[in-house]
Amino acid sequence: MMIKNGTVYDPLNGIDGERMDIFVENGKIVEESKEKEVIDASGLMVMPGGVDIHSHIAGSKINIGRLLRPEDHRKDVVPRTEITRSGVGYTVPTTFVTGYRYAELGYTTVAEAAVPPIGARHVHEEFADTPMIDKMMFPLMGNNYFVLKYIEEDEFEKLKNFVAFLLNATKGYAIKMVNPGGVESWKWGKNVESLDDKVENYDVTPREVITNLAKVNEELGLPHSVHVHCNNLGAPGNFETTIETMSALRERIHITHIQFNSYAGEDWASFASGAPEVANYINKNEHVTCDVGQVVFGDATTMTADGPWQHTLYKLTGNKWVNSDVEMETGAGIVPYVFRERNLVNAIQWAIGLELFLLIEDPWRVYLTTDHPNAGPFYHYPKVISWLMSNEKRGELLAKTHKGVSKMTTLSDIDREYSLYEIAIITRAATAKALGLRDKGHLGIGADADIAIYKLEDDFERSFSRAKYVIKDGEIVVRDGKIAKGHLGRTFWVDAGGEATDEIKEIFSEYYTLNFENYPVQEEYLPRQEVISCK
Amino acid sequence: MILRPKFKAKMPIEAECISPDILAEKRIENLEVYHGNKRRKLSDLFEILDVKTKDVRIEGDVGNVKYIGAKMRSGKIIIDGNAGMHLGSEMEGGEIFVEGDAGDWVGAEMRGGLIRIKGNAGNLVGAAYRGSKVGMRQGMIIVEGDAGHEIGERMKRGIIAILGDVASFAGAHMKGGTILCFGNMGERTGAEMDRGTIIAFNPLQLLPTFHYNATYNPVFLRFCLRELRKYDLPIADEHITGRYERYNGDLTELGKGEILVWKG
Ligand SMILES: [Zn+2]
Repeated sequence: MMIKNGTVYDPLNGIDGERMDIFVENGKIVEESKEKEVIDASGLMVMPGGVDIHSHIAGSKINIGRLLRPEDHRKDVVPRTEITRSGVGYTVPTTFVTGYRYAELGYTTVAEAAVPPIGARHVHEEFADTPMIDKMMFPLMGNNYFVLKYIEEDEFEKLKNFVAFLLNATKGYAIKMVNPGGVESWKWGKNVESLDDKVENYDVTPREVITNLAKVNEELGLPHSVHVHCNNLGAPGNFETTIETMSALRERIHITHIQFNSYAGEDWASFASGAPEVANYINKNEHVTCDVGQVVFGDATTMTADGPWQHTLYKLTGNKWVNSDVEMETGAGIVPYVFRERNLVNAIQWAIGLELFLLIEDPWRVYLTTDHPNAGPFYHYPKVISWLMSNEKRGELLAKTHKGVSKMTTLSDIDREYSLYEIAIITRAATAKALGLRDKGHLGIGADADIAIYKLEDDFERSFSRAKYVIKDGEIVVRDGKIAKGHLGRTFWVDAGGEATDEIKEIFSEYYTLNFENYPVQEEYLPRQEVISCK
Repeated sequence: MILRPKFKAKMPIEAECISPDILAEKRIENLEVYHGNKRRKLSDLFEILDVKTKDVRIEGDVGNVKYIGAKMRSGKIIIDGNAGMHLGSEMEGGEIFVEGDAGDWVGAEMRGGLIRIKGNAGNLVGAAYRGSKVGMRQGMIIVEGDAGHEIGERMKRGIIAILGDVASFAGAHMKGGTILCFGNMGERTGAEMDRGTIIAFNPLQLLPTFHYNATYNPVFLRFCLRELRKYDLPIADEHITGRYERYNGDLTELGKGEILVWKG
């Protein structure tokens, strides 16, 4: 296939809007192709397929969210077509709708960012039914019994082996921590409030969890850094915890949905932005990457392993709430939420997300997410792009929000606008790089032929809402913003070695509700897998 | 307009388009319905006569036809036989009259208008659809026969009057509005209600989380019942002048709801 005469944005190869031809053969980008198929991309924008570094699309908490919200599905019914299967949205869409809608936006790789290891099999089953995109998932480790035990016993090698074993058993991709230590304490109705609080019933602190797992991450040579949802998420004044977390390490660290962790103020009444401080730290420290978790006004479904925070949110909103205790491993909470323009706190949250995008100077270290569906569904990424690319667009919305926003944030003082090149960085190039996916996020020779082609219009939101063409593994799967062909994507996982020691098996048979033999996910559950080996 | 059913089978039909607004605004030959899982033309299933009149009369039994009058804003629908599920759901205005029985979800989440059923109605009359916070928000539903479970579930405003009996959980999670029952009320009436008024003209078994307040003749009720006589309800003089026991609840929730039990 030849993609002819397109305007190419390929930041990993330093290509910034050059007119070029791209050749595709056997699912890869090649130097030249003799195939006859030609896509005339004159006047169109050609980018690598989007890579989402943090989203919630499969697994137990998503499914609880789906069950909890029939009202959410009723307003977004998706009928079957000749090519696509039926389903529903809106904030917690069905697997098929998730795959289709990502593809229509030009996204071709998505990371499910929080999986209780015991629920891994379920995630892979849902992945097998999530078409179009390549997938990967991050098992939760920050409150795992074995992790806390081995840190407490100072058994670093055992910890390292356990992490490798767990990645293997779950077919996972990266180490995820959510409110490290806090979720374990929540099982006794408590939480941790600082990096140096003791985890309930353990002689371990959140700081030790983070530093030990980061060290494991580097010694195993995992492709991605540790992926951290910080302590004190959502709480006024938490930007200090965030900075403390980042500075606890010299190893790579990815802080996820950092917007929810960049708050100043002492309580809800004095709630304000801590984004300048957080951005300032990130600007000076190269070991940190982050995704934003940008708030989009409207319906959301909050879902996280951070059980104590979800309880707080339930108390704040009075909305329905599900709490889940995942035996030896983690917890979760789900609460529907509506972000409102006229609500001062919500409006400040919206502004903080944009401040972070605009104040962090290096686009290679700040990525576009809405922590789908926590701060809004991923379908709104084009809206976020329009706010980043146009000072005028975000000004229009700022004017509609609560008046206090300008006082409590610096958003109205910032006039930076993202270029298309920078948008390509924060939505594909940099996320692929941060995930260590060498064949994704660029259009160089040998890269996977995952390509998004957009028609650039005056309205940036519209331009990115429906890709003109999407090519996945070398085939046209989206045409004029609509699915043209079903496709089964790969699942990436990392083989870091690791073995189930007798100790692990013994503890398992003593305390788990299932037999050890039923725990690891067999490869049969991954109909199309690609194993990434470590450095 | 007159619609005469041409179908015999029991296959469910979904016909949101049977609504005076839609029939008046759109070209009738283009209107589609689902017959089972097949899309069909409305005219394949109904003989359509007297196209110029806005009010709709359905001559026959449409007990298998769902969503008649759903979201309607104005006009009138008269159904000579039975009506299917979701009759007048989310309707905003206008009137629906049914000679026979109606299925579940009559007037679910309705925002205005009047529905009158001569026969019995199913479950969840004027209720919220699953997951929604609010059921009926305005308007009036009269069922001359019996009604099923969970009538007025999560209703916020409006009036539901049942002349026969109702099954369990009437007014569950109610947030406002008024339910009147002239027959017998089932178990757990008003369970978890926050606000609103349930008027029982016969003794009923109350949940232990309802608290007795007083026996009196509520002034507002005299006005309310006199007004409701306009709707041809069996309101006797004794109902207007009689005494009522007042209970507030549900105390497991806000407890600002009331159940008034007529004592004669
Ligand atoms: Zn998340």
